[in-house]
Parts: sequence; structure tokens; C-alpha cells
Amino acid sequence: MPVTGTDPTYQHAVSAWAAHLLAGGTTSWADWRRRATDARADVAVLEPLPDATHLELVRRVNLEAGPGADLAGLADRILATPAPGRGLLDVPLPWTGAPRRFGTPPIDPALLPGEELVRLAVGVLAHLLPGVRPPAPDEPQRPWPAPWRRRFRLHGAPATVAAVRRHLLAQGYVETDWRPTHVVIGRPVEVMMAEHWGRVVRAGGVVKWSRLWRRAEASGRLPPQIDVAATAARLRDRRREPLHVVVARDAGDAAALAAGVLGARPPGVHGGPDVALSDLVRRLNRLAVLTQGPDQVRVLARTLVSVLGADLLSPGAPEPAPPQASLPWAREVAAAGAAALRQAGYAVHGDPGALAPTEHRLPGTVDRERTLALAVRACIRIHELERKS
Amino acid sequence: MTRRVLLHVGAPKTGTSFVQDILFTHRALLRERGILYSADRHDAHFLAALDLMELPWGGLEREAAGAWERLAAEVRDWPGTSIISHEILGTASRVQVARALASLGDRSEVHIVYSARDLVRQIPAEWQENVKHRRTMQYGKFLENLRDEQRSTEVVQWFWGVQEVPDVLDRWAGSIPRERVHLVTVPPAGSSPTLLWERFAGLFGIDPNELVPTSRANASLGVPESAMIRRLNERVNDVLPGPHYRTFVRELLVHENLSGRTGSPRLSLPEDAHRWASDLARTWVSELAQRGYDVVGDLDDLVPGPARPFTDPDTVDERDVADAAIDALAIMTRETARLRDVEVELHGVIEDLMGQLDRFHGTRSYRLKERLVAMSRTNTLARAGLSVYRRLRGRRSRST
Amino acid sequence: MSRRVYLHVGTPKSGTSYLQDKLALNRPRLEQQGLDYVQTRTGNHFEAALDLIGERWAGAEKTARGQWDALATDARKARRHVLVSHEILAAAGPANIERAITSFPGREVHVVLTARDLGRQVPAEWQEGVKHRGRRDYQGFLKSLQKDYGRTETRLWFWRVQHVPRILAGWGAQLPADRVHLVTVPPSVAPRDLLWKRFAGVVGLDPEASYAESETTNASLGGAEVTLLRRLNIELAERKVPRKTYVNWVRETIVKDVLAQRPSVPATVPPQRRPLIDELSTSWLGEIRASGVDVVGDLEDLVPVWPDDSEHWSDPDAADPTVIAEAAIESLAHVLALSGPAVEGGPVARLTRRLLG
Repeated sequence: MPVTGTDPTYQHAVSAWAAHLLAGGTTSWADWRRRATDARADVAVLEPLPDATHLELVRRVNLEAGPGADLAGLADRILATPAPGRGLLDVPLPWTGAPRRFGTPPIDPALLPGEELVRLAVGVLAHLLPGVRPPAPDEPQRPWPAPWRRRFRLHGAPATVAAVRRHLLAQGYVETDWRPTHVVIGRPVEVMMAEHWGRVVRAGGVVKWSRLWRRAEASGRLPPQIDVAATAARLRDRRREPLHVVVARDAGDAAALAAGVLGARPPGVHGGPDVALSDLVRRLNRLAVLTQGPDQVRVLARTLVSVLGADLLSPGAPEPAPPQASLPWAREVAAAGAAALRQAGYAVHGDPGALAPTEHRLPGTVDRERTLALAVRACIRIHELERKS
Repeated sequence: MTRRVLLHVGAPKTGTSFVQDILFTHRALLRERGILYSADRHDAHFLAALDLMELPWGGLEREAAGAWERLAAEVRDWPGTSIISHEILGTASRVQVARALASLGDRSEVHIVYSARDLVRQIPAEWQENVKHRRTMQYGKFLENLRDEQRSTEVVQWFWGVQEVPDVLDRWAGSIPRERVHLVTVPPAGSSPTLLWERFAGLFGIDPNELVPTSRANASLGVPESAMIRRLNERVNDVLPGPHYRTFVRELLVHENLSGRTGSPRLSLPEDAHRWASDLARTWVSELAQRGYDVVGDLDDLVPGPARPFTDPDTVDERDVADAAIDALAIMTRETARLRDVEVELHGVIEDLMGQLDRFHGTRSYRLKERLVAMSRTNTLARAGLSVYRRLRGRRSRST
Repeated sequence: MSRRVYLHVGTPKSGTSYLQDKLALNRPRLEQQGLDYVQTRTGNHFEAALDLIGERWAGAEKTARGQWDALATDARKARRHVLVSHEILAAAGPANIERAITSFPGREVHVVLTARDLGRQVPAEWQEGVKHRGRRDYQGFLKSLQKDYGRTETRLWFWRVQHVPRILAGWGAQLPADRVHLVTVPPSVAPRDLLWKRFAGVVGLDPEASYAESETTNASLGGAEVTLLRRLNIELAERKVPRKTYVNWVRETIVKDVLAQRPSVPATVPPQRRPLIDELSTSWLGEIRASGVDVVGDLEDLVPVWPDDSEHWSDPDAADPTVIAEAAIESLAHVLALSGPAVEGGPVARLTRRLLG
């Protein structure tokens, strides 16, 4: 039975554009309409007819992969993946003729809200990732705990801590709970929250960036793992367990200070937490609970991160910023933390004032374009991995 | 007998819950009659719908993985009539519809069933449903967004996705012969309460007098109560986890109590919105008339009646809101206290058990066993002895 | 100097909780200065006072039986001066007063009364009643005050505990005037510790020494908030909510955490009743002066200071429904947020940890 109320010339034009995209083309719909003036009747009409979101995502994938890339199969998978969750439903493409009377109004694919493309891309990833072998757990080599090796325990900003830990272990230091030297690493609050969020989503969390901040504000304190002042207060006065607090804006500086406390060589630590990446993982988690079940969520999250070759700290990641509404509280909590550190008389290296949010006036929202770019890149990489195996 | 699948895909707020109640309660009896309503739990079809449409739903989706396929598998194997019913299916995309239809196999005749009510009654009902699901959008804003032709807000995209009758049927019934598309209309207010059930029962092949709906209709909230819950949502959304909201706000406060305040004004549409909605509804009715679907009821049922008096939830009398809030506060206070009493009692029981554990751990035989366990970690002989012991004791004593 | 007993007998809502809390916080300091604020099994002297005055108090009077004698026994053993303080002692009748005064043989008895101006006492007592599950509205409360004042034999709790001259006369009946001390509560603009200094001086403490500060505030709620509470009390009574629930959930939670934190307009005496209050206060001042009791502070403190609101006086019984609605929703949100399990590290968690090793 024919689909009611749809113009056959429209169906042919869309199917023709789809064929162009499936073959790796990158022409936009607007340009395509201008060039292809005669409806090519030999193109088979696709059933169901793809919508603007699906076709535009294929086009973006083609653009990112570059000319000559072999994406056979990936585009078909994209067209076959339904857009998950809520949003615009089956968006038609703009066409001449009588306006549609029912259904979603047409939108030029180039003008689609970024949210729609990200939503679909996450859906595609949720279907591609289970086919990828999960990465082996990243267990660093731990030296044997000889008594002459210096013992340490790190606390604070989790990604910075992870990077420093790796370097210290490589230099033969021992991480242990028995009479270690405690080093609490503090960074600006928005960096610590972003690092913390990165850890949360890699463990399967689904909380949004803005809600993470709202929850912290409602509870009146930073999450315990990054509450530097509270951690230090907890660790003080432990006999034979010296306590040092290091605070710095830059990851490299913080790492150098931490290593310095223990007499180690300064590790070259660069980069920062990638909030757009964390948001992508968050979105994947939310969907993976449903498509794969709660047990698989963490595995898929790790697989996604490994496919992108990303770490907790990414060089070149844009600087995080607190959401606008939470900025006053961020300043407050940083000031309170700095005051506590100054008054308490611990060994503090660096300036406690560095806890204060960086005043770079960036919007505290996730960069959706970047999230989409990462999702597209991940789709392409997975496709390449599948072709190799 | 013909193998048929009746896919009931909507719409919300058209009496679907009471239909699903009957089907679930009497599923064993229906099976004997050759009608399959496959559900191991009350919300089985809801989870199947979440699975099909990959739709997160406040954490409930955790139990939905694989639910659609399980349902479809049962349906494929059933030689008689199968019924699948959930009102959120209406917003499935064409790709999702294709997947759903393919999963039902090609041996059965697929029928699409859609129950519809006039748009003027649907709009306030959906806004209230949103409020009961933690939304905070004001009514005026909701109406404004509905009339935005670009459909730029998620709330509105959802509304049209499930309520825009011609589009839902375009998507679901695009490849289905018209005589197998059944549009059930909800009779106008004031009709006999059993009429709607008779229309459904006829479609399903059930005798309406034999299986009767229990009076579990979800009464609607009055305007001041809706306003109160919306404002409550603004305050609790960041601090109250989903399960608590469902239990306390939706079940306890709304369903068990506030819905009972029948004296409150019911929500309707302001005059200009009423006109716009009536015009739109009429457009739909003339379109549907041309399509030749099987109408169970009367298309005229979908033409809205005259405008009813409008009480605006955004500017409702604060005295009524205060009444509703105080009522709710009293209920909640009593309930929380009762729960804490239960918890305190449980703590008492636990403390007692801990005391017993302590005494047990102090006994000589237990200390010996503890040493044996510790030794067995490094001593093969001890380990062997321990495994024999465990086998003799049975699986239960895992810790010793 | 012979050993003394100071009986601080009232009035309620004159800063007594603050004083008692501060006394308890500073017991060692007090002992250094020769004063014993008698220790009891509950920490304050409520049970002893209740036992003495013989009032019914939602069952608490049964538990309190014998507590006055217990207190008196402890006091007898003390080597320093002794201080007994509870504001409901003001309600004691002549026979009980006699018993109280004679409970401390060999000690010089002093009676101390803290008092605040009637303009503030009237709304404060209404609020206190509502906080104890009262359901009467403000107008009803005011009418009953007025009606009862005319009676010779006052039955109403308010006058029993707030009629300063009668209380002084009753408690001071057998005492020389210089052993009856009236401490006036300074106006609200004065520094908080002024009341403490006045009181400390009377009971023989050094007012200028430093003492640990009390954090209690028995803050006034706004008139709208009291009305919300009153209406909630009506609902709760209909649902037969038990007293313990009320104390824990309403008084300790909704009132303390929500209603007391809201910025709101406290209730005052309505303009048309103010002349009567002024008359009363004037007549009381005359009686007090004539009685010759020791006044610590300034009698003028007992003259009400009325705010300039006769044009737009806000009636708590006709409070803005928006304010009531918002306060109710806020309280509801607060109770909901507390509806989860109580204790993070409680017995359930401990047991789980033990069982899982």
C-alpha cells in the first residue's frame, strides 16, 4: 500500500541523495537539489525512506573520513539504526510542492539541531560497540614493595592523580596504605569536577554536567574525592604518615610539585579532562543500560574510550568551565577550601588560591559539536577495526 | 483460526490503562480462548516498548533490555490472536516500526489499533501527565510551544509523536491494508462508562459483559493540585531520586489522595487555544475520513465540544493551592514517620542479630574454624580439609 | 554569706531557653564561681517543674513524678549556691509555691523572674501554643486572653504564666522584697548578651567574664507560617498522627529547618487591642514599683514599642495565601527529601560489612 500523502518525486530525490551518500558523497542537500534537476527514475525508492537526520549523519561521517575512505557498510548501518530516545521524529527534507500537513515539519539537514545528530550517533555507537573486543584492564606494573622504596598514596583530582601515579610507579615508588607519604593534589575546582566526572561516567554514570554541579551545591560541598581540604583534614595527625598538599592550575605543575615532594623526577603530564568526551560516554551509558543491560555498561564505556585512544587527561581538550548558574558557588567553595588549607598548617606546596575557578569566561556548557565530532570519529574507527579483523 | 496480531499503539489518556489491566488480570482465561496477552508482569509491554524505541524512562529501562524480542518470540509462536498494547508505541519512528513488524513474523495478519480522543481533552491531560512525571513547564508555556510549528521542544515533539493521529497512522500503518487499521474513538464526556470498553472488547474478540473493568480509572487532578505538584517538582527535582518520586509523589500523593479531591476545577483550554485545537481536530477528522480505516465508534467523537470554563493553573487561587499543599504535607508527614518507625524496628532486629553474631564469633569452635580458613589460603592440606567440610555443611555456609 | 537557692520561675518566651542553654554549656565556669546549676537526668529542669506545678502535660506528668523531690535532694547536697530554672514554674499555685520555697531548708531563697513587654509576649505565646499542636486561630486566642483577664480567678494558661505582678506577688509572698528580682528583657535592638549580663549579675556570676555562647534561637516564625502550622495541626489531628511523630517531624523538622528559616513578618498585637495592652502595662508598672522588688534592667523595657503598621497591619489569620502555599510546598519538598533511609553508616551497613568480610 502506498505511503499516504507523499510525493513520488520527493521519494526519488531523497533516495538518489541517499545513494550518493552511501557511495561516500558529501554534497549537501541544498546543493544536491540545485544540481539534480531531473528526478532519476531508475533509483530504487528506499523503504522506509531515510530522514534528514540519518542522511546528514552519513554525510558528516563521509566528511570526517575524507575522500577515498572505505566506509562500505557503515553508512548502511547508520541508516538502519533508529534514533533512540526522544527528539524530532522522522524529519523530512525540504521539498517543493504542497507543504506537509502532518508530522514533523521539514528541516534542511545543514540546519538540524546538533542534539539530533548526537542522539543518532550515540544510537549507532551503542550498536557498533558490542562488536568490538573490550580493552584489557590497564594495570600498571607495580614494583615489589622493598622496604627501601619510598611509599606514597595519592588523593585528590583523579585524572591528575592517575597520571602522576603511573610515573611514580614507573620510577619504582610503592603505592600502599602502610605508612605512606600522603600527597593530596588540588587543581582549580572546575578541572577537578571535570576529572571527577570523567571517572564517574567511565564507571557507568549517567549524571549530566550541570546536574553534577547542582547536586554538589545542594549538598554544600564538593564530592569527597575532590574535596581537598576535607581530605587533608582526614589525613592529618596520622603518625608516621606525612601529609603534603599540592595545588596548581596547570597539570604539569601539579605533577611536578607532587613528584617533588617525594623526591621523584618531574613527570611530563599534559592535557586536561575532555568534558565533551565525558558527555559522549554519559549518553552512551544511558542508552547502553537499555540496549545491552546494566552489566555491560561499564565495559562499553571503556571500549568507547579505548577506541578513541583517549585517556583521563587529553592533550588539546578544551578547558572546562562550571555552568553559569553554579559559578558563584564554585568561587565560594574554592575560597572556603583555600582558607581551610591556609589556616590548618599542613605542608602546602603551590598556591591554595589556585583552587579558584579559572576566570576564562567560557560557557559552562558541553560543546555539542565536539561531542558529535568524537562520536563520528569513534564510528569510523570501529568500522576500520572491524575491517581489519 | 486466523493468526492475528493486534498492535495497540496509543494514544495515552484514552483509557489504555484500564484495558491493559483487564488483559493482564485475565490473561490465563484469555489464553484458553485463544487470545494471547503475553506478560509476566504488569508492565511487560511497557518495557517491551522502551526496548523497541530505546527510550530511557527514569531508570525503569534497566529491566527492559531484550523485552521486545521476548514478546515478539511469543507472538510469533502463537496460533491465534495476540494482543500487544502500549500507548507510547505511537511515537515509534518508521525504522522502529519496520523492525517491530519484521519481528512479528510473516505468518500473522498484523492489525494496528489506535484509540483516539478529541484533541481539546487530550492537551490538558498530557500536560498533567507531564507534571506527574516531574516536568516543570507551565501550562501557558506548554500551549505556546504546542502552537510553535517548528516543534522545537522535546515535550512538544513527544506530544505530537503520540497524539497526532494522522501521522501516527502514517508511520505505523503505511504498509498495512486499510481494513486492518482500526481507529477506536473515545465517546464524548457523559456517555455510558462501558461504551468505550465495549468498543475495545469487540475488536479483541472478548465478550464485554464477561470481563468487566474494575473501577481503577486514574482520576484526573484538579487545577490547583496540578499547579501545586508542578511547583513541588521545581523544588525536589534535584534532590529526590526517581524511585522516591514515583512512590511518594506519584503513587501516594497524587493517585491515592489528591486525585480524590473531586470538587476542584478540572483543567481545560483557554478560548483561543480551544479554537485553534478545534480547527486542527477538524482537519484531522476530514483527513481520517478519507483514508478508509475501520472506525470503531464515530469520527464525530473526535470533534471537540464547546469550550468549557477555564481555570488557569499558572494563576490559580493560592488558597486552593495552599489547601492541596497542606493536605499533602499532612499525608507525607504521617507516611515518613511510619516508614521511620519501620526502619527503627528493623534496626532493633539487626542490632539483636549482631549481638548474636558476636557471641557466636566468640565461641571456641568458631575461632578454630577461622584459623583453618586463614591457613587454607596458604596450605593445600588445610584447603582440602576445608572443602570437604564445606561440602558436608552444604552450600549455605559460604563464609566459614 | 549563707548558701542560697535562686529560683528562676519564668516567664516563658522571655529568653529562658537561651539562658538555660548557656547555663548548661558553662557549668564548670559556674561552679568555679560558686554556683551549681543542678544537673538532672534530662539536662534541664522541665520534669521537676512539671512535677511541682501538678499540671497535665500530654502524659509527661506521669514520667515526671518525683522529680521535684529528686532535684531538691540534689540541691541539699550541694556545697555551693544553687540555681533552679524553668519558666513553667510561673504557673504554680500558692500551695505549690509554699512547697517549693520550703524545699531548701537552711538556704536563703531568692526568686528571679525574667520578663518581656506584653506586646511581644502575646504573639509569642500564640505561636508557642500552635507549636504544641494548637489549632486556635489568632483572633480566638486574643479574645480568650481578653475575656479571661477580667476574671478574678484566672484559669487561662497565658495569664498564669505572664501576669508579672501576680507572679511576683505569689512567689514573693513570704520573702522580703529585696530577695525577689525582676530582670527585664532589653528591646530587640539591644545586644543579645545584655540579658545574660543582667541575669548573671543577679545569680552571683561575673557578668564581664567570658562564657561559651549558646546557639539556640527560639526564633519567631512569620504570622503566615504560624497559620500554616495551625492548619497543618488540624489536618494531622484528623489523621490521628501520634505525638511523637509530631515532635520529631513537625516541630524538629518542618518548623526548625523550613519555617524558621523563611524571611517573614512576625505577628504583632492588632492595633485595636493595643490601647488595652498599654493600659495593662502601665498598671503593672505601677504595681511593680509599689511592690519594692529588686528591678534589674529598666522597667521601661516592659512598655511595648509598637511598629508603625496600623495602616497595613498584617493579620496572621488572613495571611497572604501565596506565602502560605509557598511555605507549605517548601515544607513538603523538605519532608520528601528526607524520605530516604535514615543513616548512611548505620547498623544495616555495619552488618553487611561484617557478613561480607
